[in-house]
Amino acid sequence: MTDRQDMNWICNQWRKLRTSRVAFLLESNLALIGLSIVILWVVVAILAPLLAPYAPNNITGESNGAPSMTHPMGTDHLGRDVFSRLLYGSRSILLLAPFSVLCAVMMGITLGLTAGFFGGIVDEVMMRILDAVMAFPVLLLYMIIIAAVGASAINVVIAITIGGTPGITRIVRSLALDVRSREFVQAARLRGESPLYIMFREILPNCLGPLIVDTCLRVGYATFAIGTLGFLGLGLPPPDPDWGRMVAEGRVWILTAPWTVLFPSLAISSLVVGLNLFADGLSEASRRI
Amino acid sequence: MTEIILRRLGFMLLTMFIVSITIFVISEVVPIDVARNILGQFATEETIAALREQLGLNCPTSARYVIWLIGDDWVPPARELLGGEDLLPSGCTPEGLDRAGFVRGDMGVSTRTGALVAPYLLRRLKSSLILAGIAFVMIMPLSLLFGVLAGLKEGEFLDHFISITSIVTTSSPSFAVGVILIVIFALWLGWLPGISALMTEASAFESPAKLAMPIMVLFFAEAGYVARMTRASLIDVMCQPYIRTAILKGLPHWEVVFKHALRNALLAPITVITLHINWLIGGVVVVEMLFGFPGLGSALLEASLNKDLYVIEAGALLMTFVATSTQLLSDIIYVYLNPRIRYS
Repeated sequence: MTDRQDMNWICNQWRKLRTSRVAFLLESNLALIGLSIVILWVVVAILAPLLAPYAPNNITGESNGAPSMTHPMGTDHLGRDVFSRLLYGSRSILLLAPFSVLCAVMMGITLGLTAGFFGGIVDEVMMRILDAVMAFPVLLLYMIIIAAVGASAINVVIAITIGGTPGITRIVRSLALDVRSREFVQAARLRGESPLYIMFREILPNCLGPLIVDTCLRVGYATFAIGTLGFLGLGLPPPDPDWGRMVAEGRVWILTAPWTVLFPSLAISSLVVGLNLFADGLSEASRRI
Repeated sequence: MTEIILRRLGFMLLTMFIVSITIFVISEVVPIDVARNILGQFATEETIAALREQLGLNCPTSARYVIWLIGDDWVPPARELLGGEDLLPSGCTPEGLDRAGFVRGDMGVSTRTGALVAPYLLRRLKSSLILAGIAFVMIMPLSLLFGVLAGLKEGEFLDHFISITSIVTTSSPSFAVGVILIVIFALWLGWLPGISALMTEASAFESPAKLAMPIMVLFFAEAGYVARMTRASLIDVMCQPYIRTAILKGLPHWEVVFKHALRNALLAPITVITLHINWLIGGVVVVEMLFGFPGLGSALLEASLNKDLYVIEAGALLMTFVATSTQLLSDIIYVYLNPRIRYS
């Protein structure tokens, strides 16, 4: 440790001592609050058929009816029960967001390990291309992809996978570059192991910690993105409920029937905030250790 | 310093080049049959053939990309220069040679309305830039102030309040924030007008009240992020040895903060804000859609929903150009602000 690092370390320790009691409690509390919000929504998604008073696509009341005993969150412009649609709407987003992040992580691991392991010209070319993809505003990327291939659940997954891959690739690459020079990797090379074996059995396991924290953050982004795509009319096709699209459909009546847009907005906000609080707490905790 | 900027400029051009290929490939190669993609699955073979002829789709993809990017009016002079040899395959250069290509401002004709794409998109871009510009001017000082306050009061109530509010506002999708703000300010309090279904290009800037809500949504989308960055940066700087020296030297606290710490602490957030421009652009698209504001984002969205090919391609490239040039600008600002690079 150099002098300067030493001093920084002392300073940080001092800072931690000063703030730890309040901050740590609160931070872990925030993470717990986030986790409970997420768990709540997962339970809702699983139990939706039991909890929902009506089928989500059935017309069960008057058009744009106000909240009442029979319709706790009112009805939308077609007379469908907003509460039931809200409950069912949690299913698609909670399924698609983690799934598309998983796809992006797998792509990112493959590309990042390749770039980090081989280095040189392979690394250079791959990184320049990924830089260019990152220069795209992500939403714009989604828009042209959806315009080219049409809106459907699988295309939403594809769009979000492409949008998330460059960031994950960068992280995996930098981790791989760091691990690559360690002794055990050199030992594996001398043993004559294949590049694939070294990449996935020697390097990857040592990158997993930071990768898991990053993945948690990305589930939040993906949920955010899926909601936004739905709102822009680029998400799941109707009639099945989708929070973003519910807001888009009710947008015109926001001043006369605010319940059709307010409740889906609160639902998606709470889910994304919950995911981010949890991921934030997790990364904070991993930094402390 | 000039060298760094020139290198950055070259890198930006390279990025734009790769992006232009990407846009072209996604919108014209991925759908396999562009004409069918535009007309939908119920179009007859004749109309598809006619559109293919009209758009010059019978020409190989690479040649179409070249024409789209740099036009085709250079083909006849080039042919004479080369002694009759054609650079582009026949069928790619129809009778009226009039395309100038994207780089010279010819963005083609909308397949939906038949209007010229360039003037339409540039008008929309201007509206968007004004909206985003006003939002940016409000976001910068306020969020930096919040970040500095939180950083100086680290671990105290004010810090927690600002940090938690920042997490909540930045992680909520903009459309949800917009809806909640409309319900609060237009419906309950009645202070501001709600969404106007028909905001035309002319009426968008007529009354400031109409712009208040869109700007507020953009503020909430971006300010929390900048505040958190500033907070982290300031806390980091306050731990540096030279700050400790300044404190031990007996300087008053405000002088340590304002004369020594802030200069370095603001370096990171200022450049990060401009790098975060892609995020802001996403927010602008959502805000334009929510409030019916006629900007570049809503134009692109409309085009993307209607498969208006040339508007999508040109708009996407235009938007990426705005994004990359802002990134270049942020690099230059960084070089200018950072004495370690400036004097090297």
